[in-house]
Amino acid sequence: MSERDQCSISGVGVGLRHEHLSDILAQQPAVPWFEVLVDNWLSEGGLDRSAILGMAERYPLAFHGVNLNLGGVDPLDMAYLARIKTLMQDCQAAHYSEHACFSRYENDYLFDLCPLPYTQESARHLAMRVEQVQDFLGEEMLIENVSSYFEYQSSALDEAEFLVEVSQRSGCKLLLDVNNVYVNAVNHGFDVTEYLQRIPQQLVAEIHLSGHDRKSGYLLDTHGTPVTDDVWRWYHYAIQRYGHVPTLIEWDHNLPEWKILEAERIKAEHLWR
Amino acid sequence: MAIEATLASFRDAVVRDQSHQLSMRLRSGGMLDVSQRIVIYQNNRQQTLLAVMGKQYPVTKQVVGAGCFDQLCVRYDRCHPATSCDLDAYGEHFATFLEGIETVGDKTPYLADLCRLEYALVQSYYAKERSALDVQVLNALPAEQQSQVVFQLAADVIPLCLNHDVHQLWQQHQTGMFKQTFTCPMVRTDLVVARDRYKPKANAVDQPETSLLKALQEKKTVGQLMSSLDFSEAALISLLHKGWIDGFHVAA
Repeated sequence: MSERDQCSISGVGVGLRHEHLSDILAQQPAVPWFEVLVDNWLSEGGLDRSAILGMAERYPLAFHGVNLNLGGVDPLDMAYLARIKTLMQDCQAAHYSEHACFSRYENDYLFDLCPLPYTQESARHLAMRVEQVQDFLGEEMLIENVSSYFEYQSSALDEAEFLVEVSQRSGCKLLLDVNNVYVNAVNHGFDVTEYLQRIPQQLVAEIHLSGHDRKSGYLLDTHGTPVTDDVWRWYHYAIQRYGHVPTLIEWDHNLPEWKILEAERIKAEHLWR
Repeated sequence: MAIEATLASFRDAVVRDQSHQLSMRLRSGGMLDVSQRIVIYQNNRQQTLLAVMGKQYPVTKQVVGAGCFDQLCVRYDRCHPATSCDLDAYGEHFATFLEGIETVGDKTPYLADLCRLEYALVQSYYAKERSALDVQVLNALPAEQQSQVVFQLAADVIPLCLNHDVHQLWQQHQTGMFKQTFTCPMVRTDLVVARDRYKPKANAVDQPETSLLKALQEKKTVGQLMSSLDFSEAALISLLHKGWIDGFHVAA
């Protein structure tokens, strides 16, 4: 489907953050790939532009976005998507992933990954917009499950069914965030095993691992702590079920030193092997 | 579409603090009630915006203190909600917003100018690369067209005309020498924020350069520049030499 040069990713990578850039470029650690939070690297010039191109020369990169408003009802921002497409070409990125959620309504930006109702209507709507993105990029994209803190009464499908429905309608693959599955399982009281078993092996193209905070009465997805023991256990289960899917250590807030992230990556790599 | 009504109710709850419609659409049960669940999203949004503003305006935050800064940012969001998903551009009107708050103006009259400097430094950092001015094409233009040339400032070059010398305050912050008791003199200060390789810097400029920069911002043609009494050829050469002018077009 794709006509551009693109790298492939394998093994356990790390989410690239500005704070670690100088360490990475200086030490050139043996990390098989990095995931780029593309919204942070769309500047047209300056240090960031130079750094991301420098990273692309050294490492395979996958692109991950948060601002497309993929599940929203406003028209997709094609100018924003065009900038992503250009950067993907420049960096020969492996793929582009976004979230199965919405982040904007009319002119109000929510700056969060907001859950959709899990209905057939939503699934059709999201699949149609995924197709629009894939047609524009000329390649298959990945969609990721998000953490949530409530459920809509109108949801007739469970989350796994919804993701599979969207994937099958649009032809996209899934980016399975095991932490988000666990957070939602605790917050909404479902069984992680059943969730993972509902997702066919061939649909999962990438896995995310991250940390959460335990609050009074719920789990808050912070991406700001080490991966918890529960999530490591479910990752082990997921790898057994889905095989050697590229996996990412994702850490966005309260960023630790690079060596701590690297230690998390190595821990995941032991399970991945 | 039912989905549209659901998303609208979510927006109303999180951005406009009108939770009734969303509450009716949510399942109850578990250890949290529906309103507590909505508050999580309200907090997430607010924390994101506070983090962005803190990144855009670190010195301003230090000057007023984190608690006061956060309150100002919350008020700012109500008056100037984000109009783009590009968070690097968020906070554009913060300086003007602060000028409208009497208590801020009384205690720290220089704060708005400090914001202008901080915002310009961020925008300069992310600006597109300069292109080389094509002198051959410029020289090849017929004389009548040359007088109609409008020079273009590079995207990372941002002239600032301030009422307070906030540059010194900003520099103190960079070197860790910042003192809470610092007072900022009220004196007209002309600065140009421009990137030196990758790092944006605030540069002092003299009067002829300031006048020329203002004229360039106003898109004046070469003919108009040269007929102006305060035109300085030396200033034009200086800006060209610094690479601050990186393009031109011929006015219709």
